[in-house]
Amino acid sequence: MGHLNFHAILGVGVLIVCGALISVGWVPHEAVSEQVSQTVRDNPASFRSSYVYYTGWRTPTTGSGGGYSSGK
Amino acid sequence: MISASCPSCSAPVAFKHASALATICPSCESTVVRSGADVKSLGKVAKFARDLSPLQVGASGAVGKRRFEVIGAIRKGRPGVRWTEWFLSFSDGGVGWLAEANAMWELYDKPPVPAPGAAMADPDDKITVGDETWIVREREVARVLAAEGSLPFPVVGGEEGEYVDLWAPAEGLVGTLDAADDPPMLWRGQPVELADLKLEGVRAFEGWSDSVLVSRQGPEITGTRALRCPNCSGAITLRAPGAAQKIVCQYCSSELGIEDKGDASQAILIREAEKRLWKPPLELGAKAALEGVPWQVIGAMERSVTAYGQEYPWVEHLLFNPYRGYRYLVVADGHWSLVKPMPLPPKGARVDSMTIRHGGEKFQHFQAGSARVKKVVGEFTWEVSQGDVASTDDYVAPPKMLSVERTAEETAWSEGVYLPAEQVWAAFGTKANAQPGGSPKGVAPHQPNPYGALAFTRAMVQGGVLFAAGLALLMLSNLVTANQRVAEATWSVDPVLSEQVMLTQEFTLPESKRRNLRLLVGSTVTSSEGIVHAALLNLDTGEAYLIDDKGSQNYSSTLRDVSPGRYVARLELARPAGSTAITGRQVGLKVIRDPGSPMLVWIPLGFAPLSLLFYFFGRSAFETKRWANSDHAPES
Repeated sequence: MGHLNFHAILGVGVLIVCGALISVGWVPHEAVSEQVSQTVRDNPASFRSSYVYYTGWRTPTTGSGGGYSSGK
Repeated sequence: MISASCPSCSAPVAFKHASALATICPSCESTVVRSGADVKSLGKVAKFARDLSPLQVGASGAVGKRRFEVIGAIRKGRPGVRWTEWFLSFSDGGVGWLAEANAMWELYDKPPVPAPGAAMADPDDKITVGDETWIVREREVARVLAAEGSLPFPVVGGEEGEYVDLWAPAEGLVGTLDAADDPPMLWRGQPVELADLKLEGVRAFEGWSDSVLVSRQGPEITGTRALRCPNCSGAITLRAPGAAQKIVCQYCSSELGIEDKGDASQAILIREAEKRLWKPPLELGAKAALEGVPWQVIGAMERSVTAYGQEYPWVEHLLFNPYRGYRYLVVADGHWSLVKPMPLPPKGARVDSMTIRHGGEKFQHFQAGSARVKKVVGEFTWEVSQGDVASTDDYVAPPKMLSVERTAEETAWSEGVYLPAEQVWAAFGTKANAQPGGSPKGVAPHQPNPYGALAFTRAMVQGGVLFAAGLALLMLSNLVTANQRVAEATWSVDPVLSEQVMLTQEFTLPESKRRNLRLLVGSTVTSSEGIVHAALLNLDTGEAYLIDDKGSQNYSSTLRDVSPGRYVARLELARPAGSTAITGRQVGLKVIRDPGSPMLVWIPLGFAPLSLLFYFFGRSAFETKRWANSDHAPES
């Protein structure tokens, strides 16, 4: 019975938190950023990320592997 | 009714039914027998001692629509056992008997039938009467101890007669016959509860009342008798006079027999004290109501079984209510049960039964053992002693338990029901001992699974509510988010280039409180053929957002708090050097402004089925704990 009560309380808590996050427009941030030069802003096709992970060919991996800072 | 004068003392006597051939003179206790218009005296019988039976001559009741009056009684006994046979006169002219033994009642309200051969049967013999199979319970000699009122035959004090008691468990019947009758006539009856007989005019006992049985107006009868322990001279209160067979002194633990003389009782020393005083969880004399019925603790004993070298003790308190009989209030590891003796074994129960159907429920065998009496105090209706051993089998259908105890002399069945400890504490708790028996430990064999039908309904309701709330969140998300597509493009992949860059048209993100973006990338390029990188460039500020491909060719990422301004989205297809040409491949991109977060909707929705998962897991875990203590524990 304790599990059910715990679950009910947890469920209601999650509902409140999720509802509040939806209301304020929260989303997870899933990107890393860097600053580019004016030259690149004038010609976006010339952009090359300074993060190796985000440019060029690499051997396929099964997971998300690498991480934001790998190869910097 | 036929009236006459007692030949011995000339007092008026009455024969209250046409079939009453004898009556006991209320003045001189002579048995007066009539033959035609003549009456004669057969000598005296003992005065009917006042035990705590609620029934008395003159009381009335009903069996269905048939009213009856109690017009006479015979008390009989044999060593260690006493019982009373109440003679009934029915309003339709019939007669019957109501037999009382240890506060259990059997009603014989139909004319007896011939049972040839039954008088010679021995215990456990089976005999057939009509289409019924009867089993002989006992064949003994009984002595007339006392008599009162009108009777269908003359009785003489001390007269002995052989009787045979039988039962037919399959039919739910009990039977008895006088072995001297020729041919033997079987009285067929059934166990009854006094409360079902609509009784009026029962005896009024001091300190007791009953909501169903109606007492006749008059002075209340004192329900207790004072005794002196012959060993230590301690003052003992006898709380079930007339029924108690043995008492263990609460001051010196000597075992005492009880000798009744008329309306008085005297303690007889059976075994001297062993100086091992014991206090059970509930005090002797404690009185409280359980399930609306008041009970008094009159005795207690600790028993135990030993399994795999481990001793498992429990305490049985003997409860008494003169109107309702006896119950056992049992506590084991803090778990309580209220146990009622059964007048008949369950139908179809055998020595090796693994399941028993009783009262519409299926009871499963739980445990067998050899129960030994370790400690005793107070009074009992049988001659209990330390060291007494009985083989036991328990069957459970929570919250109920059927138990059978077998000794060389008898087989006794009982039905218990689990009581929450809080209920017993509220009833019997005292300032000095608010939680008698202590807190429950582990899982009792017949403890109700808290994950029962009610919990299942609750889990379903919880799941339903959470699901509905999740849907409401989905609606809320759709209402409050713009979910606006601000850029979209699809490109055909060049068959041979090792690196290919694609740009969307420039698009503008307006000033807004909700500044989230989602980029969705799709491609038909396989992971071995190439990898697609995505980025978002702010042409005004020079900030570039790099999107993690998450190891997939089709992915999405969400960016929080993206500044307003002019943007382009950039895709880069990178292929391994020297790879073979590919054809018909495409890559595409969508940019959504203020997309909301599906995760925030799916998490609450995911809780809905978890309610049921919690329910089934909890239920299963509880049953595993229960059966781990049984003879049928799953092998680990």
